[in-house]
Amino acid sequence: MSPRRETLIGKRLPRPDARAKVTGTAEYTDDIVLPGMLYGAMLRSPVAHARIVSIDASRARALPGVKCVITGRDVPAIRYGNWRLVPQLQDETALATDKVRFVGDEVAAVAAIDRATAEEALALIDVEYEELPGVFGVDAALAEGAPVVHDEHPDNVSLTREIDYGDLEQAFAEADYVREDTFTTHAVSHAYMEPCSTLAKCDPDGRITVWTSTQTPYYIQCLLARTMELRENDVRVIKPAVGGGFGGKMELRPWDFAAAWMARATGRPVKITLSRAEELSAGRRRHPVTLHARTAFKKDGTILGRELTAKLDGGAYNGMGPTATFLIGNFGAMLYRFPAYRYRGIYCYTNNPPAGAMRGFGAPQALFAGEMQMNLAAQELGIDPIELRLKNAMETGDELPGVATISSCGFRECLEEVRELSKWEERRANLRPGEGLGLACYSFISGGVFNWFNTKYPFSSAEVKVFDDGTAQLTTLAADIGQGSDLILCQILAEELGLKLSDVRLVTGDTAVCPQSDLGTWGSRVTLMAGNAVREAAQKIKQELFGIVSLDFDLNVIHELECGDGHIYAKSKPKKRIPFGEVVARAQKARRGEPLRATGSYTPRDCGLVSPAFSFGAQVADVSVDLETGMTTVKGMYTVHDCGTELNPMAVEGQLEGSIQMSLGYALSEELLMDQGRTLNRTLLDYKLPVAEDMPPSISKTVETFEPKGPFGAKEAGEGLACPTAPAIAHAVHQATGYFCKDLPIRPERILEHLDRQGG
Amino acid sequence: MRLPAFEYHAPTSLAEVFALLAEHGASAKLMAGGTDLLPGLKIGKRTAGHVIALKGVRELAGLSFDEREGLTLGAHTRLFEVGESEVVAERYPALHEAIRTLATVQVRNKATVAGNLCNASPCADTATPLCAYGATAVLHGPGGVRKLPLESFFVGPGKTQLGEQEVLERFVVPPPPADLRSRFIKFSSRSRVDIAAVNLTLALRLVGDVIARADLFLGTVAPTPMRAARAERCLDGARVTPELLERAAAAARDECKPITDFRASAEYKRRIVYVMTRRALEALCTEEASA
Repeated sequence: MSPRRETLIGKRLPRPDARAKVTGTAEYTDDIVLPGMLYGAMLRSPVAHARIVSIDASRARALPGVKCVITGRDVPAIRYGNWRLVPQLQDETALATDKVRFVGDEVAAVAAIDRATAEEALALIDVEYEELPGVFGVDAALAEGAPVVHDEHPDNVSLTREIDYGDLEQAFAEADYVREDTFTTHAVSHAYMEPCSTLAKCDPDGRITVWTSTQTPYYIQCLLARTMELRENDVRVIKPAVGGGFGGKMELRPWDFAAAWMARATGRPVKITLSRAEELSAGRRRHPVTLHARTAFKKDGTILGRELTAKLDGGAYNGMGPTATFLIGNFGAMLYRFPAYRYRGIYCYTNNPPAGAMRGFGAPQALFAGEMQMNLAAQELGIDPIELRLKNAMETGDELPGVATISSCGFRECLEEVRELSKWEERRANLRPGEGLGLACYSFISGGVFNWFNTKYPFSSAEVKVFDDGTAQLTTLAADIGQGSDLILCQILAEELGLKLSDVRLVTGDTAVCPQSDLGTWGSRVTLMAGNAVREAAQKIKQELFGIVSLDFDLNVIHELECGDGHIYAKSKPKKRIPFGEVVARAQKARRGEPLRATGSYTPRDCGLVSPAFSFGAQVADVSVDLETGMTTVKGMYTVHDCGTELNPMAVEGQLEGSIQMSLGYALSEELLMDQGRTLNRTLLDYKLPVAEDMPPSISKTVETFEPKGPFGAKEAGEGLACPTAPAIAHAVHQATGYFCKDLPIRPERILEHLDRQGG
Repeated sequence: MRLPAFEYHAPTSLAEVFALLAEHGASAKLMAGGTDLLPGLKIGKRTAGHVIALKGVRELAGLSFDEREGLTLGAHTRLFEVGESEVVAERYPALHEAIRTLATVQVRNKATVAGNLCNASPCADTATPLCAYGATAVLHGPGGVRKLPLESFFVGPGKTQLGEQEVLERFVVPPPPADLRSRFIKFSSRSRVDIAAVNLTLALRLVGDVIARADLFLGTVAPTPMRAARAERCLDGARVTPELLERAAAAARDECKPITDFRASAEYKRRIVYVMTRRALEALCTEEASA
């Protein structure tokens, strides 16, 4: 009789934080001012590799207005890093002790009554460096007799990772066609709009509160406690509004430590905010990788096997590099069925600024190599690139032996749909000189299962309280850094409890208040993991409420009760219903007034080594190249993707647009220009982020699948899309000009050189 | 990266400006929109003990046009005012286009033409159109006024003919002949909000299919905005043929003196000069004569 109750799943819901951000009223860390607050600044190494002979901060300390100066010799040299599981991989100290390893390496910190004084004091710290020869790329790092970045690793190899299954020798022996290429990818900046900022305060009892621009409050809490020689619970981390992270804000940073240490030393709050120049020259960046790929095909296009080697330029420290080294191997075997696969990843130390996690995290590099090879192979085998992919496409239930199982996969549908959407065949048959249509695909994870942080807590947690006024409160440490997860989690809770979105209040971003714990925002994990935790908590509440009112309904089993429209009712007789708040009041009475609350958690189990779920997609780029200047213009992007259930299409679209903007820059204009470890382009004038007017028209479509491990069938959306754009554009450029880019970014000069060679 | 301390002066007349310049000498810097000076001070590229803001100086404000004098741009005319001006859009389309694509709306709302030019960057977007239209710079010092062609105003990167005690008061741009065709082209790796890798302005008059006169100025490919004199000599008095346009473009390519920087290599910039010059010529030579 009653139709399906109204659902919030799949609704186009605007972000509640949008208004504050657009009108400039959202409060970021740098906006916070506390009484007596000092301003801090970091002294950075001007050289790429040197031994510190001496540091003399006496002139800086004597400057009026300076309240604190710390160097690596004034604080305990405690090593930290996200890889707590393998302590040898924790290779960083907040301030350099004996050596600096990159231009920008933090050497000292100052806190003063204002920024000008702090910066003046930096210039008064006398550091004597004994310069050492540096290494500035993987080949230089691996060369015989190369300068050594870390004494513990005389070969400059921090670690290697291997994946190996199937009989690779046989695969290549049986191959009709072998594609073998070397690709290089470059370093780019996350270029989040909010530079990093930290504000620390120390209570009289020595406990620390830190407001910081982070995507991982829990990591900051744990690692800061360790470096400050405190207990975890003595550190409280609060995450205000964050202006983007993209992987660049998921580690403890030297300024987190410096602000906290100096706050404790002075008894006054200390704030440190980085400049854009610091971000571009010394901030984390995407790993530059040299990839060597060999792929074996049969004449009909069937893939027999692949061998992939990746050498990562990690820069001076490990950061998230160990994870990237493994993930490149994982992504190298995604999308298609590889009966045999062998991967070797080598993480190299160099004297470049350290790389870190960045949107796609290994996948943009691995898939650039993989998808470029698919396109080259398609051409040489005389098979349409879409057909070649369809022939080898992964399907639901496929396995990467010992690594992952694909529990839902709409890849095939994505390929078919993108062919329609882009009018693939018709357009390709009618291209004019300088025009091209290119294709690339992706698959990505929905959160990581591997516990490298070595937490004893659930990966995600949520606490739900319900009130007799018919409202609910969600408390979680899941970190919205601009991606919109706050809305998604509230949506999931409101859906589960049958309430309106406006009935749900969210409390988040405070380690002292939120349930332990949540690993933060990375690897596209929040919707799936925190979403499942929220659902679990909500379901516990429902069970309790249903028990209270089950006798009011003439039912055999309570399973027939449902929440919806602010009421609890029997599915078969929806006309009889009791207001949600009234049931809560009764439950509360039954509990002697104790508020009704429940917690939920999620930790992946039995999901292999990588992720519980994988998204898929295919993208076509329509480009035109000016054959006289070599400039590439992207005229249109066509995307079809499988993110499981689209919980909020508006949010998915925002992710998609953002990833096209970011990847357009990766493909064509963005590059950190390096000279002997020094970053040359330190402003957004010279670091060429695409602007709004560079954005091509974009058409997208979602293939609906249902991911059994995700909340309401949802999985990753938006991060994996950072992968196909560069190879799709490069493929289109190849069609337009004959130039096949194996070294990102696609440079107009290279296109012209190629055309010159062809022409004369 | 903090703005260093300086004393700020807000004079309302040129006489006051001269007095301040006389008093503070080389430690004083004139500020128009401040969009170059203030960031320069912040990063330590420039220094100033005294900053003299010109925005309140009444003699420097305003834009006017008459058929005899042409366009008069007060030094403190802001870029957006020039960009919005109908007469500029109609009569000086290359200047209009240059301003339309210069920096961002926010910068154009503050920055001035005089500031863009006194900064004397080889890539200043307003330089090549104003030079091509034959603009005169009017410099005002305590001793009086002197006028010089804008193209000789630039001395080198960051250096102009402006004396220490002088203020750039206004530009006068003669009324363009009715049959003048002109075009500004900017080449950069982003579509907008970008600094030019190469920019140029071409202005020419055609009589039938003969080029009566051509003015070609190139930006970013020499220490100052430069007149492409050899290309102009090719064109002046010549009949329009595809070969002529290519020859002139090649002359511009060969006479420019770009440097390799991280925006582009010298070789690539030369190539762009060739392509852009030829395209500007093709466009103007095939454009319908304006009514």
